[in-house]
Amino acid sequence: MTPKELLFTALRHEVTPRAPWVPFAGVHAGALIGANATQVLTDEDTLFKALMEVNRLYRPDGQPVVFDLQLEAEILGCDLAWADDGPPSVASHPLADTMTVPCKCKLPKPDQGRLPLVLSVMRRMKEAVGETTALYGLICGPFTLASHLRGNDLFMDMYDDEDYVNDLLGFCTECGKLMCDYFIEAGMDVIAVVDPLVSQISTTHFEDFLSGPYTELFDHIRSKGVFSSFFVCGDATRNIEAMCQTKPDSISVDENVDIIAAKAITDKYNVVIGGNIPLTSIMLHGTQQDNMKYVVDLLAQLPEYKNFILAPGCDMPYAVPIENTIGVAQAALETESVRAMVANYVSDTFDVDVEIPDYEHLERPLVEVFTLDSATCAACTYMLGAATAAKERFGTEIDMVEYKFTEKENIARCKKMGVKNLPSIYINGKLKFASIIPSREELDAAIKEVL
Amino acid sequence: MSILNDISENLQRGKAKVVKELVQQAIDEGISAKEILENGLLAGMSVIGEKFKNNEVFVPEVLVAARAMNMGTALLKPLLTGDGVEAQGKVVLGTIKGDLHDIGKNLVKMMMEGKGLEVIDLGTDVAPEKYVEVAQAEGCQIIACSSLLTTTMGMMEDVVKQAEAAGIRDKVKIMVGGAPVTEDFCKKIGADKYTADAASAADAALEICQSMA
Amino acid sequence: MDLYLITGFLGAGKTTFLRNFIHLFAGKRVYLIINEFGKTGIDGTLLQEMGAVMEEISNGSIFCSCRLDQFETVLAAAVSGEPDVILVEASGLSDPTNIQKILSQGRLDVIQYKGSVCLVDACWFSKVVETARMCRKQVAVSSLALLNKVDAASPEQIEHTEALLREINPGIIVQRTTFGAFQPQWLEAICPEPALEEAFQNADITLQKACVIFSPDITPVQLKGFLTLVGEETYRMKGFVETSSGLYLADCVSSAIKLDPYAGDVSADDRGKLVLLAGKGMRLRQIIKQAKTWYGQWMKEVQYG
Repeated sequence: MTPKELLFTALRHEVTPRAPWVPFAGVHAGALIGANATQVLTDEDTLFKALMEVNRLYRPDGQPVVFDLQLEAEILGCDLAWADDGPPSVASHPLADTMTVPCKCKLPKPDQGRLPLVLSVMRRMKEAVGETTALYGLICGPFTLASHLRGNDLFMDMYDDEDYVNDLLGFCTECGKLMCDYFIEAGMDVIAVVDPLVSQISTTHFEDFLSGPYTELFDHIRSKGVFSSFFVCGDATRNIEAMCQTKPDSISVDENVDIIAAKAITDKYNVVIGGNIPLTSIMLHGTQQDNMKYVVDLLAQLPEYKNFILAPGCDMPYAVPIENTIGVAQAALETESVRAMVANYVSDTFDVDVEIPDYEHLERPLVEVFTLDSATCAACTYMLGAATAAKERFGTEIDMVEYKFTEKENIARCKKMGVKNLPSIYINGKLKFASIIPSREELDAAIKEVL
Repeated sequence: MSILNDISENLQRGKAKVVKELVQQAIDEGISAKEILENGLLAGMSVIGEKFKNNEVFVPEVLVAARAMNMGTALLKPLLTGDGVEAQGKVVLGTIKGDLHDIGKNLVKMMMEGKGLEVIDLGTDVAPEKYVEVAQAEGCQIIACSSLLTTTMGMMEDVVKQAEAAGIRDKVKIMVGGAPVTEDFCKKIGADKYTADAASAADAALEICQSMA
Repeated sequence: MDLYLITGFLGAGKTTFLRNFIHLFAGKRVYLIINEFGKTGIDGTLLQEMGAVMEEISNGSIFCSCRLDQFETVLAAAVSGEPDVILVEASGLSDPTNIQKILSQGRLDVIQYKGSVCLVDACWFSKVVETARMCRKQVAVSSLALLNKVDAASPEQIEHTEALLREINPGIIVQRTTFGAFQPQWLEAICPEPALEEAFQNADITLQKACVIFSPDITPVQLKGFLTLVGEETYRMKGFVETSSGLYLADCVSSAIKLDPYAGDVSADDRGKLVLLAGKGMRLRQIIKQAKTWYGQWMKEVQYG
């Protein structure tokens, strides 16, 4: 079964051998190749290269092609404020002082704004990895898009002029349907409708204003023969049931929702739930161990892998340490072996005696590669591959050894040496490369320094 | 008094026009502005705040309630100056530099005003030195910073540093909040108070101001 | 065959100008394409004398992208009649760059695009240019600006307006006039401008349109009351309204209200319908809602968009 088929199986509500894994690497994809957020979202080749790196390092079953809820708003005349380390923000709301519903002729066309770039990258990704990886096309949800256009007055309009809100949401729903069409035509397998603001309204308001538009959107996506997902942010717990009733194939939530409790509701409607690795406390600020532990603990709460997708809570922060996501990926793909690692790592009774080399008095340089498991973890495979190739080039001039975290004594070694992130390369006991695979030149230079 | 109850009830339902009419009626009946404010408008806003905290009402409900409150206070303002009613404290508030999100910040403002605090709203994308400058010039007891982005929350540390540099750290308390902000983060950057929601922020701000009075 | 584009914001005097302009083409076969607010101003006998044909585009701005298909159909019909000259009067809220889009598709290459002239209200322009993005576009695509109504404007207003026009389009030639009068020698100044740059291509989603259908028992006084209340929040209001005292033509530019009995022929479809156009910052929807509390019993239907 290809990773893509695994995800499809889950979206068809069947049992999967492991939990499908979908890293929401939006601007974070840029961090993998040293490009900033603005470059990732405005330069086609940069975006493509970054997404390919996500695919290579994180081994996703599915991945979004671009995570930018401002794409439609920009075309509709909102000014954007760009940032180096995050997606752009909407800086002006054209309808803030003008209570009108735009003419349908203003709806985005494929040659407007950044759509040509996005559609082209979608096609290139489909061509490059589409056989094995499910691709997500993300559209801005009608409520969030309406608030981009109208600003905060939208909330007040819900009391003052319900017809207006309905009409404006109707326009935004049309916009969403068009975007679905463009994205599906460009090869997307799953359309995710992303509406963070849904968590800010009551269930009554959701039912009054959004049940209709969402049902229409998901019907439309279904009629096109692809899967759908409904992304929310924030504490949307109370609205999960109403969201299920709009009939998406899946729902994705963040850490503000108790995903196990929410799953009881989504299961009732036979909807897949995805989430909800905490973005800030775990992915951004936690260690690799924290990330692996969080995932195996979460997965342990599931009686079986059915109607569940493992994913970050939302768009990953730009600066999430790469090793953290690698840890998450490994925990998703090799859950049992990572569970053992985590258990061994935290056990206090653990006292395997390991001998640390006398780095000051080595006969020749020693390259030590620490991996989660080079057989199963993609980043680890590449890291070991780089070291093996160096060993071939330098021959007997250097020594090279791999320590897999799957072995108890290697965990002890890591603890003793203070190795925090895997995979990494140490040369003569000093950390040289962590998570980011060095190029041949970089690695050779680091070795020559100590020859 | 039932008219004050009516004001509170209608405010909670966001009936701005009715609130305005009732406030005028209460004034005409000779009820003091202070009483109308405290037992009518602020009482209603306080209920909304509590319900918001408990996830019983949400952003739209708070916004319309606050609008109703503003309609009422506009009528009372000219009467309040001579009525011995003073603000409970002064807060300078804004969304931190680099961040344009203002829903949460606006809610905090409304809730704080609902507690009788005076709030100076600097809007969004506010430079750390600006908070300090205004706090100094206006004699605020509290600087309150909001952030929705993981990338901008770090800026809040600069507010603490700037306040230290300006020598007002002992005179002003710094409050932080927003989706990615946590208690740990608040401690780490040396801020004084983190609250998880707007209503709690208003409660905490009132408490701080009273303790500093 | 030659095609001239006549642009200018609502109420700038395009219709009056057309009556003068058409005389330049005496002896030639002229085909007029007029937006929905223009037709009533053109005298049928004048057309007959000139041997000109007129076609009106209704239900939306002539160049609004959503009506492009309709416009192209009308244009194709014009071409099939083999006129010498086609004059296109673009609605004051329409996007003039759309004509370039249609002509560049190559399906109508018998048409020689001669360029655009922009009618500018000397008193009003500096105000509308702030709110209506289309205004800038119309100036930008025009090689000649006709500064109309200079008799009503102060020298400072005229100077200021001319400076504004040159700021938007540095190469534009400005001629001052009154009542849309046009000197034959100015025709040479009309020539195609280069295609607009990307900066002008941002969508403007703030144009507002509403249509109010009245019941025929409304009195002219009540109708005038409605227009006076609502006018301030609009650029333009126009329509034939059946009242208790017969048919009236409402033809208003913002709060300048004009409401007169109308004796001409009007099709049943057009009767009773008032079209309102507004732009950024105008509270059209709110004011109509307010008007309902006073005039609601005569407002049978309100349509938006």
